[in-house]
Amino acid sequence: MKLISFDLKADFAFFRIPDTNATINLSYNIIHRPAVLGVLGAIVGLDGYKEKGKLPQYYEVLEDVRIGVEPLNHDKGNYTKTNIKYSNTVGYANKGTNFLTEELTLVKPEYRIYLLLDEDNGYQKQLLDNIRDGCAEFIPYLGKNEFTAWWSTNSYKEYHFSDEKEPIGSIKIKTIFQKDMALKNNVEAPFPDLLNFDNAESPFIYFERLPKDFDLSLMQYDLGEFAFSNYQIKNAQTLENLFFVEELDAYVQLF
Amino acid sequence: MTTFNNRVYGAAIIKSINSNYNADFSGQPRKLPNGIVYATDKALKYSIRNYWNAALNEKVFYFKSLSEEMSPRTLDETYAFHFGDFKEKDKTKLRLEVLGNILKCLDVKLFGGTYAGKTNISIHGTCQITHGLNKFPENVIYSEQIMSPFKNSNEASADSTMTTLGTQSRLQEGHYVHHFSVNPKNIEGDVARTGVEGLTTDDIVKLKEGLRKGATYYDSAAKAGTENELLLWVQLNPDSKIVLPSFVSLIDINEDKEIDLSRVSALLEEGHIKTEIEKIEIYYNKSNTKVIGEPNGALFTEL
Repeated sequence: MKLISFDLKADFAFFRIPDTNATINLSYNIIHRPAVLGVLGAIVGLDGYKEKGKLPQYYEVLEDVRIGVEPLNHDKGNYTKTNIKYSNTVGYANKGTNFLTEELTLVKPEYRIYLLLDEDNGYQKQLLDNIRDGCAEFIPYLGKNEFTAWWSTNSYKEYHFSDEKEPIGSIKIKTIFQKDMALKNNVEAPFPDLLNFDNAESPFIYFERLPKDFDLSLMQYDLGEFAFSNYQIKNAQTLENLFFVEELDAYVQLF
Repeated sequence: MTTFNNRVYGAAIIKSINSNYNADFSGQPRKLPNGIVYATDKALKYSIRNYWNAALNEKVFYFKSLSEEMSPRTLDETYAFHFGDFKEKDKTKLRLEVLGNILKCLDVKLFGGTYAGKTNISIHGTCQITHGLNKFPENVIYSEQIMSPFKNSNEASADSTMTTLGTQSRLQEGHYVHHFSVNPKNIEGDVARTGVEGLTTDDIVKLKEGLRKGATYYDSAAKAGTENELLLWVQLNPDSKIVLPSFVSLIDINEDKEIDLSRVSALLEEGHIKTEIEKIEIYYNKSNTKVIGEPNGALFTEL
């Protein structure tokens, strides 16, 4: 198994939150696992959605890949957003009238994507080679196909890692991580160590409810509670899927 | 017809002087939260579709057309207008019929489209254009009042001796940079499924012509003064799969209105990228556009 990372960026991005309909459409702020799988599928050249109610090829092939996401160039976990209004006068959206829609779009998002890849698996080996060489079968995009995405080959990194090292005391987690228990009054749950943070930047904790996978029986996003912080985290032994990365002297969560 | 198998990356620069290339719903040029003026990919695609439709007499499917009663046609009506009534009754066959027919249209082959009418189809176009950002250092928008020659018709102004006033907004000067890519693989599956012709070199000639002339060709009251300024076309070797960053952030336009391509040139000189490039073409008018840092070996042509 190989742990790698690459820095994926775009001028704009829009990851639609499916639970809004009228007027303004909102976007998730941080790229989520289903969206990353789509980008990886484009890089290897796998088919996307073809039929209603049927899973895309890329999901079936890449389902097992472990993914971690670290936001880069963010403001305390957030990206600037701009509201873009579109009109559609072609006539098929609404019969005979104009169709208007608004999308709150992310400006200049950038994410470091960590991947745990199995080199013995043909597709995953191909994925690794393509990312290292800066190649893709389909040109990836973030959410909508006009928001073309890219990474530079310089951003490709390989890491030494271990998943056995028990987190003791306060640890640094580079990626967003999933928190299943309430933090308040729960000493067993992971909670931020409020005395420890990276001195370079002002301390913050960012929370977002993000899709962590697909719910296959309902064919919709399966949501999870995520946090991202530059505080050190106490009680991290209750968090799952933590990997210690030697080069970073920190942990990443791959889910 | 020869099929086109190369991946292409490029940039189209649109110059807009005292003009309004792409307005928001208040009638002002679109602005990002940091004040930078931008245009959507739709604005450029509209000008190209319009050029194909009006100047080249091409069949353009995703374009507004009016019925005899002067109302816009629905999607299914547009389909019937171009291809006649739906023939297949079976759901799956109908999808293939519609896919095969609309995939013959130049705009669908290049820009793709969503069919959400009698059947549901989504086609990932081979040419993807990004939002264009104004890379000129200034973003000056002004509004002016304009007068109509008519009195307001409502009852409150029945005794008025004045005609009505309105406002229009313009961008003083902007140079919008759009990035685009061409990837013939995007429609390969659909082409195999329907047996229609894939992307040809002839389609690419028309795409280039649209990218070079579309914005200049389209003159409306608001868009007069919006013109194509430059087209950069970086064609990779057949079957090269390299991913290049968006040229929007790499192209600069300075206060003297010179287009600075030196960061693009530096990128294209990088070892692992240089070997993948088949040709670089650059189109602009030498008489009124100055370009610095042109990529090595670029073939120059007037717009």
